[in-house]
Amino acid sequence: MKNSLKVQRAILDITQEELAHRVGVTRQAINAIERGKYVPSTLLALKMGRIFGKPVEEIFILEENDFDEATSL
Amino acid sequence: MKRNNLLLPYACKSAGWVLVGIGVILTVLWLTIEFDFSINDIRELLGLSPIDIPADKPVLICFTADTQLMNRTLSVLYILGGFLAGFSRCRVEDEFTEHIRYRALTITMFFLLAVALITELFFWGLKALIVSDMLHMFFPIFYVLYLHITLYIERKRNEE
Repeated sequence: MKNSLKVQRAILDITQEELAHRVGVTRQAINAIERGKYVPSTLLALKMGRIFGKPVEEIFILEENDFDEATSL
Repeated sequence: MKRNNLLLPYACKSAGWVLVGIGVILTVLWLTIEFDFSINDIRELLGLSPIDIPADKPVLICFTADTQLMNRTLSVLYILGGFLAGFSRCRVEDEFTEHIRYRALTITMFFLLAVALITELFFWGLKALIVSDMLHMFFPIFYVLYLHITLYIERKRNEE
């Protein structure tokens, strides 16, 4: 899964710290999400969608190999 | 977000680190100058007469007045200190911190099970007892170190 979090932040001109404060997590969490090292919970993703004014699917994009991982279980 | 009610308050973390620190100091003393003590040593230090707890008399903790206590003391310090330091809430606890905590617990369990298996396969007698005895100290130390090192690394990552 990839995300456009950095782009959305740049559009709103907010730092990781500010976004973290608005959604109620740490800056480390936002950093890890942007680097693709952590997948946010549904609640957190929905909060981000509301802050950016975008649907969640525009911020977090599924990739083909995400389906492969699910079927291989 | 729903709070994790299984964790201890943040204030317990400092107490945990203090206990672990005392454990480290005593470990160094134990390994370098073979520092050890028993109940009667403590009583002698306090100017009290030695006592005799017969080995066959049932007591809450199974030792005599002359049993060397360093090993047990270190176990208690590391286990209790590790528990307090590792299972206390971080200053800010969020879902990412919980993710790191879960990962630390999983990796620690893998490590412990590997050590336990190797012990069962390759160690016998007294060596097996010593390694087995140290296993219950390994868990809190390994878990606490892994958790806090990971949290530190993540905290130091700057915005890219």
